[in-house]
Amino acid sequence: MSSSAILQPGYIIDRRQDYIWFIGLPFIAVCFASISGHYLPGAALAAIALWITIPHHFVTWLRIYGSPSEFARFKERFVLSPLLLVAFTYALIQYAPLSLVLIVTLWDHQHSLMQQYGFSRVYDFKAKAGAPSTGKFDLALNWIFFGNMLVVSPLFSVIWVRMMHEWGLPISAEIVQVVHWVSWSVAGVYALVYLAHMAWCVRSGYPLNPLKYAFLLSSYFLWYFTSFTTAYLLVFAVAHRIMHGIQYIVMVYFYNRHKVERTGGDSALLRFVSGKGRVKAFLLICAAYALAFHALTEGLVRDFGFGLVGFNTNFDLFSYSLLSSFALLHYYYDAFIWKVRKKDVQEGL
Amino acid sequence: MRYLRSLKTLLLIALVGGALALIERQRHAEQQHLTERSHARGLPQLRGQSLREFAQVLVVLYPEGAEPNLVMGTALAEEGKLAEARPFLEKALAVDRRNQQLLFLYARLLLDLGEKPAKVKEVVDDLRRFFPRSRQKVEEYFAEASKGKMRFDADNVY
Repeated sequence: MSSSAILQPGYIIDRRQDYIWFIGLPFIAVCFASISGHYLPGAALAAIALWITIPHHFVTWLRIYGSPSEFARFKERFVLSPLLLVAFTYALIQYAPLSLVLIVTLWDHQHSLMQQYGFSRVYDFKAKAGAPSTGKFDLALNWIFFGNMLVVSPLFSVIWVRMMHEWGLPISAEIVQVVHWVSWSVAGVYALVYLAHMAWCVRSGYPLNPLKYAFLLSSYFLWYFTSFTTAYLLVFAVAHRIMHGIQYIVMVYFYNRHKVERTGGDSALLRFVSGKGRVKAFLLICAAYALAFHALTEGLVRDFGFGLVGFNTNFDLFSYSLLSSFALLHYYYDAFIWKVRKKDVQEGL
Repeated sequence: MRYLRSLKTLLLIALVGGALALIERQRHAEQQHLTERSHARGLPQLRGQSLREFAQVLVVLYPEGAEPNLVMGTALAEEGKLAEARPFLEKALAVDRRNQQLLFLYARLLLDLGEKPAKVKEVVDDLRRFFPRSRQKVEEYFAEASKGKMRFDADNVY
């Protein structure tokens, strides 16, 4: 079989954009984060949250609430879940903060690995590559390798061992070492299984998309490099948020743009921010949202409260709970609005 | 019923969250191993014997790491063993000079050990330089803690 029959490149957007955003960006993010760790104060992370993480939540809202057809698909969820999640996080922050930290942390990790898994599915969808079972192998690959990083890296070992002690489940150094060993073994064995699946695909005549593997390798380079070479959470968090947030924003921008181009768009807002040549409008509206959200969660909105709101601890708790509940809402929506097998999703890909 | 079906994942998460909250509160009440929250955005921290046990695990796993040495230094300082805490904090500082908690604890420890104000001020100046948002509070705290022996000029840290 010729190499062109084995390898079938397919791009999420196009060759140039993919090399910049999906393959090159993780390396740039690692460089930026390493420089931040040496030369910038801890506030650098807050700046990344403001300019990348918060806008990346916003583009989810834009896709859902800015498009009547998207909104109609899961109307009850889109109406009720913001109210439920804000109430849920407010209650946990007040009465059981460690429970909230645990839920947000685990959901955040699951959300991060599922994004890379989802993009890898899009790569195969675009290239018509891989066997029908490849999706399951990709899913297991992401769970096992992301999980392994969380379990064995020095950065995250300190965090989960601390959590165990906080939850009244102290764990000895010997047991931690055994857990590390088991995790590495599972990852090593699965790497062989995954390679065997790739070989089987080639033998069975299913082509492979090299871009998908380059994308996964660059993503895992970022995660493993930053969690093994630094004990400074800021470096990992800055690099991860740049990669995760920017890739998501790029994905949603092009998804909306393709939908507008192919179907004409079903709302004026979507046409305004997603039409060809409307990148500036899209970025401006993201920045406006980020500033508004930042003002709200940092308490500057108190100045508008005429002394009626914002001058007590409950307001602090409420504004703090917005940070977590909006993140949870984003995780929740993403779990069901990005099914590549759905026809209406494929319209935007 | 339609709403329940539609929101089942969210309701499941709420149930898990509720169960975790009950466990957290019960553990906290039984073991008393966590501090109370100092402000709305703060989290309870390990204290006493639990903090010491955690520190010992970390120091075995990563003896050269900044965080393990900081945690051990904190545990010893909490127990009043300031001289024993010092080398751990210095080891942590050698790895990570930009940690706010570490710099603050080390400066406070030097002050309590009776070091010269000029030596303490070197550490406090790092705090002021790296964490400008809390600069004013840090200056006020150390001016008071040193009984006026430490003074801070407005513009000598940048």
